[in-house]
Amino acid sequence: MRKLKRVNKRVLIQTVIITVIVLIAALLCIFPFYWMILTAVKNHDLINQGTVDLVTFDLTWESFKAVFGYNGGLIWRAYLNSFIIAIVQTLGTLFTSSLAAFAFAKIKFKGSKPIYGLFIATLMIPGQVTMLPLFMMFAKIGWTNSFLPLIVPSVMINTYGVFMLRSFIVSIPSGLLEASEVDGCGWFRKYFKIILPLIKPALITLGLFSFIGSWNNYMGHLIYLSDPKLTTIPLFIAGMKETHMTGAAWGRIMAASTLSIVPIAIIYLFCQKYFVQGIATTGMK
Amino acid sequence: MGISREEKELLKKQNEEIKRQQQLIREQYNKMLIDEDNRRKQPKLAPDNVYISLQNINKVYDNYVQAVFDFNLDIQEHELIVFVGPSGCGKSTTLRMVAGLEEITTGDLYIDGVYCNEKTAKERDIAMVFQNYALYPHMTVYENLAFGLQTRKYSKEEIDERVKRAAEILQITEYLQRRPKELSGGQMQRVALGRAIVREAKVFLMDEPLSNLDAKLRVSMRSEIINLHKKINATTIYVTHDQTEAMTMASRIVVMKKGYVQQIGTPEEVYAHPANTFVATFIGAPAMNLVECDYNDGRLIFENGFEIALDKEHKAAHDEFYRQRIAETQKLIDEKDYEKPDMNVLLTLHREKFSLKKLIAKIFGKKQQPVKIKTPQDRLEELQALLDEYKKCLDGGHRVIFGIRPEDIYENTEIPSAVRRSQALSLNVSLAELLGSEYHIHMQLGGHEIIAKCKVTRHIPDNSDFGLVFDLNKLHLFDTIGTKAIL
Repeated sequence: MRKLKRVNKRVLIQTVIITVIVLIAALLCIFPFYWMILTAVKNHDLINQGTVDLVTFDLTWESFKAVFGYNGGLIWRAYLNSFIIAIVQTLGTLFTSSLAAFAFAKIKFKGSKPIYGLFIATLMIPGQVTMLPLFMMFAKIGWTNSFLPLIVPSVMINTYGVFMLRSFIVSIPSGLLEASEVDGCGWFRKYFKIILPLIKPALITLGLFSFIGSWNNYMGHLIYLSDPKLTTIPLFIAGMKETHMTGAAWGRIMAASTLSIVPIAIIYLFCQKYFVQGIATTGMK
Repeated sequence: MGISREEKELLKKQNEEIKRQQQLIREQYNKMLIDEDNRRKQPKLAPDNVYISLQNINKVYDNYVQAVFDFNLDIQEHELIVFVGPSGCGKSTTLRMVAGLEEITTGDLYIDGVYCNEKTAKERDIAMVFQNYALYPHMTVYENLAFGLQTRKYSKEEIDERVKRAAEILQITEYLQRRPKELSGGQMQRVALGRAIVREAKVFLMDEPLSNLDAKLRVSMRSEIINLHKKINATTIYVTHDQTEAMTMASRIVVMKKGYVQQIGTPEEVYAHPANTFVATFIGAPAMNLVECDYNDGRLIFENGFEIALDKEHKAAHDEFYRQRIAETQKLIDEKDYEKPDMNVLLTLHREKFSLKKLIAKIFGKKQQPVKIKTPQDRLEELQALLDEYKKCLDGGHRVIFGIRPEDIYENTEIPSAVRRSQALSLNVSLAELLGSEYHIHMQLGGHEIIAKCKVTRHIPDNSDFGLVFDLNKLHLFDTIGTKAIL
């Protein structure tokens, strides 16, 4: 009886320690959001006080009203543009990446390994290096001030996506593809009917990464989109800070930021259950 | 650290020999390519009265390993052919070549009168059951069964009817809406079979379909497949490593080993007249007892002094066997067969035109393993040595391998009347295994272990003496040189 109690005590202490560590980590993650949302709903006077105050709750919707009213409801335009870019880019990336990944994983052709190696090597080139040449190229073909430079390159090549999906597809047993071949499938039918349904969890994960990447792509949007009609959420938030004489309008910036994370949070909630899922391969022994 | 002069000389000589051989190979290889090209250009005529025909099929993998050597087989419609052999004997590879999942390196394949080498699996109208079932995990059983029909654009009603009929035959109607992961091994196996049945294809191919099931289920599925074949009557090729499956299911068995066909025949033929020692020991359980002994003028003399006198017919068969071997070998020498290129070596070169690996090996000066090829002179000498051996065998005493199945050994006191008995022999029992209805009695004869299968009439203790006779009607003799069957 005594021994049992001692064991229980040890387990209890362990649990407490682990819980505390996890709690601290969670708080560190949550804190920026808390601060952002608090600032967004705070009274203006309190924000500009100069000291950090995290516990006074003098709430107002003024900041949100200012955001929605800014430039005659420009935020809706920004939302729409951001969505268009993110969705087109994500769907395109998923399609091309999975197609390339399928080829690299399951189709035998001469030189597939060296080509794949070269392909993966491009991961080592930092984006900043290609930024200027890309801009000059797109300027030359007259694509600046349109969504094309933001969508086309990432649809045409997403090295990380190919890399990630290939490792998923490799783990799909070749027997399934052979069975489908005997069942009368050509390469495209194999891709659509067998491969795509089986890598759904990976596609959803990659899709989310791609969507978030595009949604938050401030630099790219700043470089290519100068027309106010083409403004996107990151640009819109950046635009918020310019006020006359009064310094940065923190309330408005934080309110806009809060609004910008809403779509992502919703998507994340829907996709959450797929992240941990592996490929379902039962049916094979 | 320097190399001595002699060693240098030797190395130089070796290199020259390798170069000479490589030159030889290249010449012969080019000739073979031209021949093969010419052969492929000729119009292909399917053989008459044969449903599936495999002619001189060879398979060489990209890593230059040859998996199948000169496979020849004609299959009639409605036959159930079983390929059997130990793992790695090329049986699955052959099946996959028929299916179109592997390319045929050389040779011709005809299915139902159509030249099929260049047809894809899709175009060949075959149905296949895989060892690991290969059910689509994201589809229900119904969708799994229907998939092959959907891709072939059947109408919905037709698909529904066929799926339901197949499900009924296999008794899986109640699982149709489940997914594969909710099924047991036996049920998955049925679905895999069903996927083949719904297709009503020309040819059924089964690649070790029962090897993932437990022993009991395997036996019941085995008889189900036999019944299914009777019902559907599709031409079937069945691959297994289990000789019991082969014996019970096949209309004809193809025994394979290391890529070579050892024997083709009905189960009865293969069991009663194995073509060589491999087939003799592979088919039947426990395996046939093989004991090396001396042959001298119609008498078999064992190391412990025991003798068996062969009758005249057996002796005549023995002489005839060696006469034939001599004639064959002489014919090879006369026809200058040794000057023909060594196909086995040449085929492995089939794809060796360019490879990055080889290039890298060359650049970094890695030593390459030269392909060994026998010169015509070497082969002629070999053939002549063989001829001499056979001649010796015909003329005087020589070693043979005596074979008798465990079920053809009888206890001295319990001999059925049909048995033509040898002299009695008493051996010490090293181990007597009781299997319920019968004993497996292990004994030593001339340094070889032999097993006798006997009905249980009394308790047989280990280390006791056991009196036995052989059934002379069922004895086998094998040649020690080529391990081929003499009797």
